[in-house]
Amino acid sequence: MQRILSSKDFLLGILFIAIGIVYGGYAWFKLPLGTALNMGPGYFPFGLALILIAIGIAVAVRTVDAETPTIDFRALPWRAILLISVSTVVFALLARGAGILIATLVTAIVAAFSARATTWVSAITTAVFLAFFSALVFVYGMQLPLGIFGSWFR
Amino acid sequence: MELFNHLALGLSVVLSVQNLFFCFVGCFLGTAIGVLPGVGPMATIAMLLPITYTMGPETALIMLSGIYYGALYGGSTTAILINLPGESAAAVTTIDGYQMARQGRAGPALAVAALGSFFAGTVVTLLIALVAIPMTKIALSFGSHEYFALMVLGLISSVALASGSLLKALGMIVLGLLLGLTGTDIYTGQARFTFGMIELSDGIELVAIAVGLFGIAEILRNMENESKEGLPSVLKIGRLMPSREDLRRSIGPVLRGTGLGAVLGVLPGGGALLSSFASYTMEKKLSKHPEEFGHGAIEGVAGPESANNAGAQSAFIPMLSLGIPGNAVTALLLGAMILQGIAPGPNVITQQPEMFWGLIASMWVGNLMLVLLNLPLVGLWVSMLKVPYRSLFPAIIVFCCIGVFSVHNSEFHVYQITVFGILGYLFYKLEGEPAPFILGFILGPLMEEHFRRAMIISRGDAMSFFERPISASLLILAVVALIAVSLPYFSKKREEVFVEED
Repeated sequence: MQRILSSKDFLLGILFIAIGIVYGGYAWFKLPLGTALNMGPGYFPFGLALILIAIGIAVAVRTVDAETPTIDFRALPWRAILLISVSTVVFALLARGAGILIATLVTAIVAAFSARATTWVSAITTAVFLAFFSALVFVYGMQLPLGIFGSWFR
Repeated sequence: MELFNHLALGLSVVLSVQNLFFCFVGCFLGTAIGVLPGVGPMATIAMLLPITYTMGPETALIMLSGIYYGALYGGSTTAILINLPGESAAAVTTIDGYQMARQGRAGPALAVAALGSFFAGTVVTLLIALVAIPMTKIALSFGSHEYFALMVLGLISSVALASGSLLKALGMIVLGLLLGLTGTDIYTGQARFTFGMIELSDGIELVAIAVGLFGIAEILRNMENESKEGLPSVLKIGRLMPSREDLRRSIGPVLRGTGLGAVLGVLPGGGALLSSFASYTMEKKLSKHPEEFGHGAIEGVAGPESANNAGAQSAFIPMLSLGIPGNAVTALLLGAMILQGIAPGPNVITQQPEMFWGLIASMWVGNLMLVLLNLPLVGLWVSMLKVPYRSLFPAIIVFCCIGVFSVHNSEFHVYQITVFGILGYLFYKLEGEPAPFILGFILGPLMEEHFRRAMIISRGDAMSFFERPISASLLILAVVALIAVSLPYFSKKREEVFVEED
């Protein structure tokens, strides 16, 4: 059981099946399928979802073969997965309100700490450099639609 | 003569100050990210795509393409000097290139790699210019049946030519096709698969997917081996000029590599990586001294390096003339075209001649710049390797966020990076390849459009796909390709080509 639950083939197969069910279900229940002559918005995606589920089953079933590679969940870089995800979310939360300078600074610091070797000094140096670089190049230079300081400061 | 008029038009576009500048920027950035292991052309193009909004379409595509083929030049430098492929297509170059460097012959290896690439780039630029018009003429005679069949064949052969499990790659394609349909149905205007999020009615943002899958997921991958930080020492370059003997031994491999790359690049799923592997295998088979391979044979550098550049560039042929991308990078460039408001397809050549010929001519100009950038300045690039990864990856994350935010000035798209970053890493852990996924994602809406139109034309008769000769032969070819690669004989051959030798 342990082996199956950590099998790469099994998990990818389950992922295929799950997305196939979600999209197929949406197409079936919420969209007009139409006919082969006059297809509705649900027809083609429903067909694809069935194919995806079928492939998913075929991939997952291969797990029966004892030699399929497995994944070691404890060895995953959980700290990086968490902090890097948080850093992108933080950017989205700060970009408009606080502006590019602060958003970049905070995002870079949070992201930097996903590496264990990062120290406060190296994180802040990198972040300060990036904040000024981004403000200069992207806002002044390329006129991207972001303020140096955002709406919270106006 | 027509050819020269077209190339002259293209050159006149490239030689404007602005385009020349951005061609240089693209090549420069391309070389930089090519040299750096862990940053690839996919992530870079995706990050920079939003800032090309304000440029004209020709400038945008000239710069973004420069990043792609520039990365191939930079990748070989790292491969030769520190035994790490700076870019995946340079993986085979590490075998003999690094051995040459250990014998103190890094200079000639770098020179042959750059000059071979330049030669290949020149030939393939001419080739694209030559075949573009006949290809578009054929494409214009295609109806929806043929287009649908062509896309099926393209997707199937992109799997057949890739490494790894066939079934999983097929699943990744279908998953991409399905997610690509998220948004608004073009025939009825009905929103679908939005799950209550109004922002999803424009579909999932391609830039966010590309940045997540190829930028963020790549960083997570690198975090796995964090303890092993610190690159191996860089070998001395020595004198650059190859000897007469080096040149003599390189001519054959460069010519063959160029030809092989030009052909393999056109095939879906082909492109740079496959071309370089195939060229290495071929040179080893043809060589009178196969025992030298793996111990610093210059043929093992000259062939694959020419092949990967040729393959990278000929991959533009189907993208430009048919509007169908063969690999992930050209898929993204096609996305850039769509963002510029250009409908991809055989009409691009007549509706956007400046962009079309300008892009083609820019490849030659760009290749020339790259030789000049890479050979005399090789020391500069090597010193860039001293930038520690822990300063590099926060920069990538920040640039990804800024880029994606600017596409629609929207927070929602930044959250998509978060989701696809994690999903991309999951794909990597579960050995689902992202390239077929992206290909499917781009082609999903196109395939549905043509499928539905074809079915309307033929009054709902699915057999019509097999009654039209061109679409029938394309579909049969797809089935044959699928059966062939699942046969044990071919799957063994397929593995052999991709086996990395030490």
